[in-house]
Amino acid sequence: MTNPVKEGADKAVACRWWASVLFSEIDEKQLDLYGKGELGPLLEGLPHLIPEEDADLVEALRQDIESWKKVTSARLILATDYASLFLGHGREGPLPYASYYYSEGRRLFAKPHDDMVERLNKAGLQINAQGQEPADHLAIMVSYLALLYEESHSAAYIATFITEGILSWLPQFTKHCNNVTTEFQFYQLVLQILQAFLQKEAEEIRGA
Amino acid sequence: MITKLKNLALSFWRVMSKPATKISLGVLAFGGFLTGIVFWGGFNTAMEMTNTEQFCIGCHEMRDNVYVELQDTIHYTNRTGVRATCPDCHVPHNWSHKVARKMQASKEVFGWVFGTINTKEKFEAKRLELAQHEWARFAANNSLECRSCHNYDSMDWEKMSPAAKFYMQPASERNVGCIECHKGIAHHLPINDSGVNPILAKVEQGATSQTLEEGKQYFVVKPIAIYEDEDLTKQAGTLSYAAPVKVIEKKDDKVKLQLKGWRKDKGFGRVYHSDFGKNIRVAVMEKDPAQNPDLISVGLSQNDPATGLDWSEVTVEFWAKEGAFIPDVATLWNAAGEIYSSNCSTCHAQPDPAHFDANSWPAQFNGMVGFTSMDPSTQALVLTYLQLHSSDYAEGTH
Amino acid sequence: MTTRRDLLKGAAAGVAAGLLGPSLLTKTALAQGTVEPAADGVWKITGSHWGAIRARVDRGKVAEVVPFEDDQNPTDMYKGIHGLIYNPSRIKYPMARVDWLKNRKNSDRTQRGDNRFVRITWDQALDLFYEELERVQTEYGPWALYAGHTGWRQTGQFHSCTNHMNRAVSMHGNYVKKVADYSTGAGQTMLPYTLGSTEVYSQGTSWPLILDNAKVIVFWANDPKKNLQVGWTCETHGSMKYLDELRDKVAAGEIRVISVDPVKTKTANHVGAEHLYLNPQTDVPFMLGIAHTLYNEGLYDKDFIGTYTLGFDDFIQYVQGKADDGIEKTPEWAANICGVDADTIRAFARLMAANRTQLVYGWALQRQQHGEQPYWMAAVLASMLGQIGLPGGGISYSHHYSGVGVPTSGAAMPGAFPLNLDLGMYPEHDSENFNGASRVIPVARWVDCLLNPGEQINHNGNKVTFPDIKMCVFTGCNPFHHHQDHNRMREAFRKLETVVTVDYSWNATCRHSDLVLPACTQFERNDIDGYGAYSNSGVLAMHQLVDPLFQSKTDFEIFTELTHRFGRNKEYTRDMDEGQWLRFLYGECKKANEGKFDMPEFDQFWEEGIVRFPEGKPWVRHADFRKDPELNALGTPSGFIEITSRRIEGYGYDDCGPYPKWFEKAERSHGGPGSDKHPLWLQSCHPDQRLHSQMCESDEYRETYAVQGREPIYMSPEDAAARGIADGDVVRVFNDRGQLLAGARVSDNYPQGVVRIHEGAWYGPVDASIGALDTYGDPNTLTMDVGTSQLAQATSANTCLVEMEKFEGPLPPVTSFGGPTEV
Repeated sequence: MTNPVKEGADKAVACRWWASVLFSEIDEKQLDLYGKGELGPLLEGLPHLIPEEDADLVEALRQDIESWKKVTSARLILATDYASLFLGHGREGPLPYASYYYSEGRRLFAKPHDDMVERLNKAGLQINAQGQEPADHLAIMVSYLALLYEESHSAAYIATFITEGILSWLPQFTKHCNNVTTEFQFYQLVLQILQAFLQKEAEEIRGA
Repeated sequence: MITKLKNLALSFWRVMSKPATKISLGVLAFGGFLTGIVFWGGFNTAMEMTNTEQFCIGCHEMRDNVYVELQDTIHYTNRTGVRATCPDCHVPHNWSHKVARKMQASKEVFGWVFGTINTKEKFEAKRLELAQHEWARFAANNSLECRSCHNYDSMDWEKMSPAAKFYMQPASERNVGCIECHKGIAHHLPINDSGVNPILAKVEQGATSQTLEEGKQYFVVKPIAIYEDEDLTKQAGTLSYAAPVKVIEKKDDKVKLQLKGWRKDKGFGRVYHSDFGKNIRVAVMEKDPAQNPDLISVGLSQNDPATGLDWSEVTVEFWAKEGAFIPDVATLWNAAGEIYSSNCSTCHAQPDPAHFDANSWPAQFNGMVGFTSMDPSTQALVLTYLQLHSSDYAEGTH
Repeated sequence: MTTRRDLLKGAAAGVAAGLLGPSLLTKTALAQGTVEPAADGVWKITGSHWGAIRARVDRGKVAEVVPFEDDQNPTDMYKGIHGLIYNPSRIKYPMARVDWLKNRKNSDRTQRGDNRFVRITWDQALDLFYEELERVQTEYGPWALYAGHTGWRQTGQFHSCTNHMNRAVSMHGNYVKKVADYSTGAGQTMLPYTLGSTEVYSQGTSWPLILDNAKVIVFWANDPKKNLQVGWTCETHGSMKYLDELRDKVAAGEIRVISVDPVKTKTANHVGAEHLYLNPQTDVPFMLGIAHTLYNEGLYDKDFIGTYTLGFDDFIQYVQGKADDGIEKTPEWAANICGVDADTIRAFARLMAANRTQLVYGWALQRQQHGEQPYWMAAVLASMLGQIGLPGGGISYSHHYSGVGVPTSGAAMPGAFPLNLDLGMYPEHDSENFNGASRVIPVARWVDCLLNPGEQINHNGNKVTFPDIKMCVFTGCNPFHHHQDHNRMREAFRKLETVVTVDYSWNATCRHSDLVLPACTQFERNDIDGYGAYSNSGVLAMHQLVDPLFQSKTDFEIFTELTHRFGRNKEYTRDMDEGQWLRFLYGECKKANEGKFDMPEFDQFWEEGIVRFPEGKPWVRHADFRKDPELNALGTPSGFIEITSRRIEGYGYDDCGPYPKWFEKAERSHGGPGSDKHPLWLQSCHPDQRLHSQMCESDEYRETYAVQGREPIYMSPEDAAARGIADGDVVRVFNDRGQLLAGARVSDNYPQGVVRIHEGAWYGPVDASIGALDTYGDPNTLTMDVGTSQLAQATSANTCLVEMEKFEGPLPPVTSFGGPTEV
């Protein structure tokens, strides 16, 4: 077994990255960093966090990022992709909220939202001022997960949160995103890798 | 008795008309000078004494009514402690006006002597009349007494609340007298006047002091009763807003007027309109007077192809009280225009008056007026305004 | 516990911090582990078009909504309010159409409605909005900007978005405006000629007087039970109890209620009315047959006609077949067209003449081709019956609207944020040069205007020249709901260089726009409103329930920031904030009521939530005219009821004559033109469970009536059976103008040949192509976009024929709303 501390750190960083990617569009500075290959270390670490059979997703991601260089308005294109997937302007635009997939579906601010608010309250956390999103936004949930890793919460708690809080709806969301036509596949790949990671985590913790 | 007085007067005259023999010119002159000072001083002291708040509220009529009301207002107590006393507003600062006012005030002394307002009930009954005297006085000198402290040129618009600036700045540009809007600022308003639009009130005020001349044309500033007889006992009808009349005869404060209009030859034909085929009301006659050939002269009947109705020109002569007529109708229309704009733009942009013709306006107006809180009288004013500024009368309409 | 040093040891730690971003979560000031006390929340009061409500707000979320206790007959729709706030179609951020952002006036507009959008900041959005206003005013002129379009907006007198947008845009420049509306365009244009008032928005005879005096009540194409659920301002539902009283009187045999309508309406079923079926769009021949009977049997009121009306003789010549088309309008002639047999026509005429009869007309009747005619004819009928101005007699065109018929208290209602500029204010661009075009257009012809700039049309005695519009600004309205022939409209939208829409959910208008700005709902701001649009029953406090969701703002904020861009925001706001404005508006209302109605100081009012005024006195419409027609002349050109209008005659229109006439329709079912190809008449009346298109996006509520997720289409058992359609099937409804999917509801309230789809169903085409299938069921995909006639140029939505078939094959998902359908 690999170094648990190292792995925890990797997982936390990965989650922080996922949260950032899912919460807002890539800006000029970030685009520059991607172009310079600054995501490299994470891309190296990711295959260790996901099932072997999904390893090619990371390679696909690397190639997608490479392809941005060939286009002049990559930032605008990525922002458009982002909007189509996460900002819901109709025509089947997927919505990244747990509530939407809960119970009878197609609701916002439902029980999953309230549950997440309670979790944050208990942990003495608040969504910072820039966030105008409800607490059950995928990015916020993943951000919370990052903190769980950073503060080495119990594996059981982490597993429960992953399973009940996120994996209960993420596969549906990812599937809808896969059906949306976008210019790049960046976000779809990011989601698929996240899903693979979470599924592996849940399995391992349960198995261990 | 008369003889005695006459004799007294004669002997007094004899003494005064003879040159002095024993007293020197210097003494006479100087004495006269000193007497003058004493008299003048005494006169002024007496006058100044009557120009103090103490004096005014010496009478309980003032102390218990208007003085109490003043104490709730900003002219009595405020942040800076600068306050007005009775004479600051009610006694003209200009000397000759002051003297005139004092002479006029003798009437008030009479009132005190005879107890015309010595109870609360009597005071309230006369409140409107008292207020109107003061309003007229303020109006006559464009609120000069207010301006001894409040000066438009010294107003700092930026220090005002936006609502205040909204009204004050345009008022300053037109040099509007303070009282036109600020009635009730120091004492309670008479109940009748609490709802009157200040711009309209000013126009009506102007009419009360307008003297009418025979042979000239005027416009009525609000609906008033008109009479068959000089004594104003037999009502013949009512004039409508802005009805144009000519003065035929004048007797004191009553005038004999002539109105020309058009009536529809259907039913009693008692509604008179401003022009052939136009539903713009100038007068409504009572049923019997409308059929009285001594009162009304009716011209030949003409058919209006626009509706198929027959119309006749009518001329009616009647008596009315002076005090509700103005020579220039534009001031009335300015007031009406502002009322229209503010009342009719709550839900949507109000149509340009020239957007419809005179006979189309009533239908549009009737359909919408229920959404405003204009009273029937104001409604009549605004509708007449719209009709007279409709596409029939405006130039270059769309 | 992993320390920061440990973190740095991880391989992934090599990732640049810039790619991770700041954490989305931070520690609160509260100590870790402190849980907010589980409160049940606070109760607040507010109002809406659907009525006043009390809402329980718990931890920043609306937890529960109940009707205000004063409301004796709340509508079921209050249940949709929660979903109105929290639905997945909410506009969350300012968004711009990507191609427009890149290419602006040269963007590719062929894909409007199916374009991709990108998020922008508020600053960027408002800068773009301002830039476009500047560009259009300087490159073109005021004729190129259309910002006066009509809508029902949200309630609240201060936050009236129509007023906010118009004032702000007016401060920048002049623009093209509209006249009339979609609800009553034909009626409000026509009735001033006949009855001297628009009538449609007027208070009517009080219900108690109708109930006490009428022996016969005729609901003609009118469904008050359905339409009185909503109101222009906060609805009290005060008239509902009278419908219940009416039901009791009908049951006791005291009043006969006759519902003249192809369909058995909600009202007819509720009060137990007698249903008088007639073929769709044939009301005028039916009424002519009645007039013929009244005249020839001597049943009409000669005195009334002589004293109060003009022009009867010319009209009667037409009825008798002695003029015009030379056809006598006998009941037999009428029966042939309207499907009501001649004996019934005669009996109906005799019944009305022999009894105190209250005629109550609905608005759907005039939303058809030649819609002016049925309203005109109705006034003539009422004149012949001679009961105008009597309690329980005469005619009403408004008893189904916003509580008309509940006596007015007489109290003044609060004013609103000013729509216009203040005295002495002028726009930045003050040009009034409209380049020879009209600066006001009839609202229902605005798509014609887009498609044919420079064309001249007749309208109400005038000539209108269409301006060449380049830019539109929409707020408080949804043109892609209320305008007809969506495919034609899509073509027209391709001509627009810039479309800015301010709204709170992603309706079809937003999808077809370039700049979409998120306003918040009325439940996310403080306001005041009148309680009862006609009853003036009170003044209501509208407490803000929750903060604006996502990045939405009040329209007040949005337009303050827009006007800031040209340095006039202080003028715009009069330097007052929301709180000051509310106090100001309340204060003015209090002043206006001084001496008549007591109102507490603002703070007390705000805490108590409502000021109530006592009910007013019962009143009879037209009574004063009846009492003295000279003194209380009507607003017609002559002052009398004009059965024949010389003025209209003078216009010389071939589709609107000097008196009410029967004109065949472009398409009409039951043997009329086009019925061989498309045999079904599509009725698109006001919905039963929305306010127009408002609340369609409330998913939780829509699910209570949607059929397989689509808008219901109501049909007769015969028509369903003939096409193999069962209740609950998805059907494709189509004609030459478009096609849509809807969910079948089979009901014997509907006769053969008649189908109904409620307007306000959200348009969701499969793609941007002209003719694309609408996945949800918006009836205006199929309706005809022509003016009623050259008089009113109003909407002809109810002149529409369709055919339908059961939809086979894989069902395309509904694309109208936010979020994927499959969950």
